[in-house]
Amino acid sequence: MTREQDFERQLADWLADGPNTAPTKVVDQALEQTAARRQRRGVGRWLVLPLERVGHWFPAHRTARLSALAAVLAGILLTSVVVSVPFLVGSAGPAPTMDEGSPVVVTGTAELDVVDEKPTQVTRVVDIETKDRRIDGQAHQELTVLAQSADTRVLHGTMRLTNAWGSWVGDVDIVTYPSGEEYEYATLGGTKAYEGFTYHYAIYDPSAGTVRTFEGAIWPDEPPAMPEPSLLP
Amino acid sequence: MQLRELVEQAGRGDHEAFAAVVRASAARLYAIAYRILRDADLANDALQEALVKVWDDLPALRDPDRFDAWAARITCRCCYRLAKHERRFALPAPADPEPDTTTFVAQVADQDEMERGFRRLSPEHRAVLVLHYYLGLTLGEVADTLDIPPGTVGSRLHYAVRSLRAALESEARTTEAWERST
Repeated sequence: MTREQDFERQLADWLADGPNTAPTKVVDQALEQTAARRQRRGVGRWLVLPLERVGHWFPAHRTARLSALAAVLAGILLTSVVVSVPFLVGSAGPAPTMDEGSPVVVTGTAELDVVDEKPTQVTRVVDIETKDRRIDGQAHQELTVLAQSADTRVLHGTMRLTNAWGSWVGDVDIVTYPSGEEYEYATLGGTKAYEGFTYHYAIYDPSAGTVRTFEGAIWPDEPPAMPEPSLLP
Repeated sequence: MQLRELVEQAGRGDHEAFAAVVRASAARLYAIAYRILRDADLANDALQEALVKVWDDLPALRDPDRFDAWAARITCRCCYRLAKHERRFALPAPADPEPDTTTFVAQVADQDEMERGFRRLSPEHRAVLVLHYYLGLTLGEVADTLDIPPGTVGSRLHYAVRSLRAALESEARTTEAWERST
């Protein structure tokens, strides 16, 4: 048996060790809750039942019946379009405000998902959750493995974070460890509504899960330059 | 009566048929929820929420033969939702004070390390592991159950297995170092 198979068997055995019956109390509570609850019916059923009930209102002649039905459906369609257009057009809401003054600190979580991995190339999708709408969205990272040893892997690449009002685009640097720990740093420039702003973030989260906390800041224009090495203490 | 017929009747609003469907499926759904969440209270909440949602949405299930996969998907989504809102989910398992070297205790330490490694994974990665290694579904079946592309299943499985192995190997290195130092 190979090491891989051995590990998979170990994992399957570990997963098998656990409860295999549902708590009766939970099942009974769910049944009690659903007994007094109406099921959701599809739009088709919702429409068909009332039409069956009002069927006798339509003319007896087949052509006239079809014309009447078509007129009713056209009316429903027209009403739904008129009602929904304002919501559809403005579904993303107004663009978030961009503060022209001092930098704004932003925090949130990033869920990292590797969607493609080759020996030297990695593509990841990052789902970002934050209260700041400007950086809420999904990011794509195209990464190159710069260096790899038994303990660390260094990656560099490009990243694009897009949402309804614009994108943040720039370079990202990542260091990962076999335990799953990861340190990530990026400086991204804004486009569209974010034009002229810079978003900088870092992940210094020692946990090894795929959901990491990040901290960053959105700067008007460029972030301040690093001090000259000679000026550092 | 076959499960298919019960599902059809439950979809038409027959609550007795639904009760029979629940009694036939609850154990499997609970087993999935418990293994993803690793917490009995959270798994109870996930199961109850999933069963109510199954009842609500059953009329929309077009193919009764796909009930098992559909209900498993709803259960997984309830687990994701609970995991995102529950602090208990994020708590790691307690660490061992120091590794032991006897075979039995080493096996227990391995189990603990597997638990800790597993708890570091996101619920989405855990779900893929549970469906593949616990329920024995193929990657295609996992993709079908979770309604995600097969490529995403492959990458999640690869990442999750690699993370778990890294956690176990890291523990093995610590044990070796500890043995050398004593």
